[in-house]
Amino acid sequence: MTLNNVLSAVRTLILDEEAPTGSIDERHAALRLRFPELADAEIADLATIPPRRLNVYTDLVFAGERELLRWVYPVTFAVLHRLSPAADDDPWFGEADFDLVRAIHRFRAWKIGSTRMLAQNMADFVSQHRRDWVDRWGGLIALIDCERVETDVFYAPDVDHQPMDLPSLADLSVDELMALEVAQPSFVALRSFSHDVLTVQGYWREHEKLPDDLPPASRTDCCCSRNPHTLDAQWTRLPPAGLATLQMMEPDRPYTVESLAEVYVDASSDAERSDEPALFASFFDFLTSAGAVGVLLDARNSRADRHG
Amino acid sequence: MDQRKTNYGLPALGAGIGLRRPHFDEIIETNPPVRWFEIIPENFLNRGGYMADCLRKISEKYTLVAHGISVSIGSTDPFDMGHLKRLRAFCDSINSPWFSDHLCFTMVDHVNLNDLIPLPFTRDAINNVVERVKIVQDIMERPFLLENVTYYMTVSKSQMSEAEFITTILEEADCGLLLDVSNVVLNAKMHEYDPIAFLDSIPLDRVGQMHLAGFEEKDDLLLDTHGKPVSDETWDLFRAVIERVGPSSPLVEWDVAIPTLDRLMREAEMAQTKMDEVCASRAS
Repeated sequence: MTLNNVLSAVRTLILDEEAPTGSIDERHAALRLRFPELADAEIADLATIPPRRLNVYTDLVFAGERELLRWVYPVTFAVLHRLSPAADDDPWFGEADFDLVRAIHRFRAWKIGSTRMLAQNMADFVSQHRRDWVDRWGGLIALIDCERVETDVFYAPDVDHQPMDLPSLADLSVDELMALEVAQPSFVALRSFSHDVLTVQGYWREHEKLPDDLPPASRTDCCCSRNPHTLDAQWTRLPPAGLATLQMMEPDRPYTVESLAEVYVDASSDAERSDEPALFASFFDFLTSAGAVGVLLDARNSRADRHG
Repeated sequence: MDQRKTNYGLPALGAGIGLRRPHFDEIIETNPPVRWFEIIPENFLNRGGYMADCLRKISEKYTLVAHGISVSIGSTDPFDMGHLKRLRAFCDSINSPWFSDHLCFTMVDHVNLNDLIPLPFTRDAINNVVERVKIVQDIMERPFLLENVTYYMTVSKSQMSEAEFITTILEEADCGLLLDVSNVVLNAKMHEYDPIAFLDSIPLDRVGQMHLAGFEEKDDLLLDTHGKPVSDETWDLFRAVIERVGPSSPLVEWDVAIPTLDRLMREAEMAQTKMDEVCASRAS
């Protein structure tokens, strides 16, 4: 289809290749070679477009993508600049990260206008094509994952559960508490990061700059959830037994508190199990903390199949 | 709210404001006297949490009008029918009185360009757009308006002018026009034509809504950034448009360096005042 050929050529000139320069005749000849499928009149039309005018669109498109990526990955971009030993000499950190965004486009074009997909493209680009950056700081992949997941959780569709009524829990008998049904919403993300990227993120948010030293490898078990009251995405560190309990749960399916307690106890150490009151207190603290940050929601009115 | 109708038969809502995230909390907490908000559906589709919660609260109290950015009406890629149906469901959920998007393409070869890329002013492009507008109208089942875009380059003007291109599409597709007054000012300057003559050569009886926005100069270009106050010449042209079309639903757009809600409301009042003045002089 002729129109498709014209639009496709415009897309190519904006996104993929430098617009031909020189006189109109020179541009015509270059376009003729590049787009043999176009009719003479279509080539003549494209040749009259001043290269600068095409470049305006190139600038607008990639500047727009750059701003989206900076918004998703503010700390990652700060780290990338830190990792470059001589940013001024490194084309990857050229003018306003523009080259990075174009490199991501060459790696994988942005297929649909979803910020989530663009963010995934950057994550995959770094992990597959910029191992040299990861070699400079091993926590980079974890940090990218941390920031990407946070955006996903913030925007995720709502689920069919309500926040837990935490103040009422203390008034329940143990039997009543154990019979309660809770669910882990599907948008909750559990992670065991290789580095303590939560500290880096927290420092950056508090001081608007990175800490002097990026942390060495240190396993960080955590989860990202949506606060039931503020609706902000937030990370919470998890104890080993808490992580094991949440990992057991299928998303959005109701579980009795008793079934969670069994997993929690099994995942606790012998020493922890030897002090039953303290273990119960630990479990209760995990339960209420998870409820407070929306990792667990009240599933009593859930339509899903029951577990436990 | 202004209960009059535009020449195109849509409610003349008066001057509205673009709904932007920095203002959500203030709108919900203070219920400011805003006539209507224009809303970008793509910012809310498939999203829950804060975005959905704010939308729910704001839609309970205000008229919302959906203005899309992803239909890519001029593309040769097949429509994502699922996406169009989600847009329809969204418009239904907010009771949007009409739906609009841009006369351009934003995707081709299944690649997102993330900007409003101008179409060639050709018969092929017209036929393609007309066919696709009818599909959109069938799915949306509400008035559909196309917005004239800024173009920094002319992909093809060998067959017709911009005005002929727009006019033919609106008439053959039988759809409305979201007239971006600022874009007329920019295009007239960059492509050296008379904006008044342009107005008088397009079917203004199809104008269902208007946009006003600020632009920035960069070298010899005027960039439609939506990040500056509306220029005097845009206000002048706005008055010229109102003289021709009467009451309408204008909106001052900001997408960069978004000002305070208070300032946006003052700008909306400025548009309303100018529109009322011109309408009053028309009536007398």
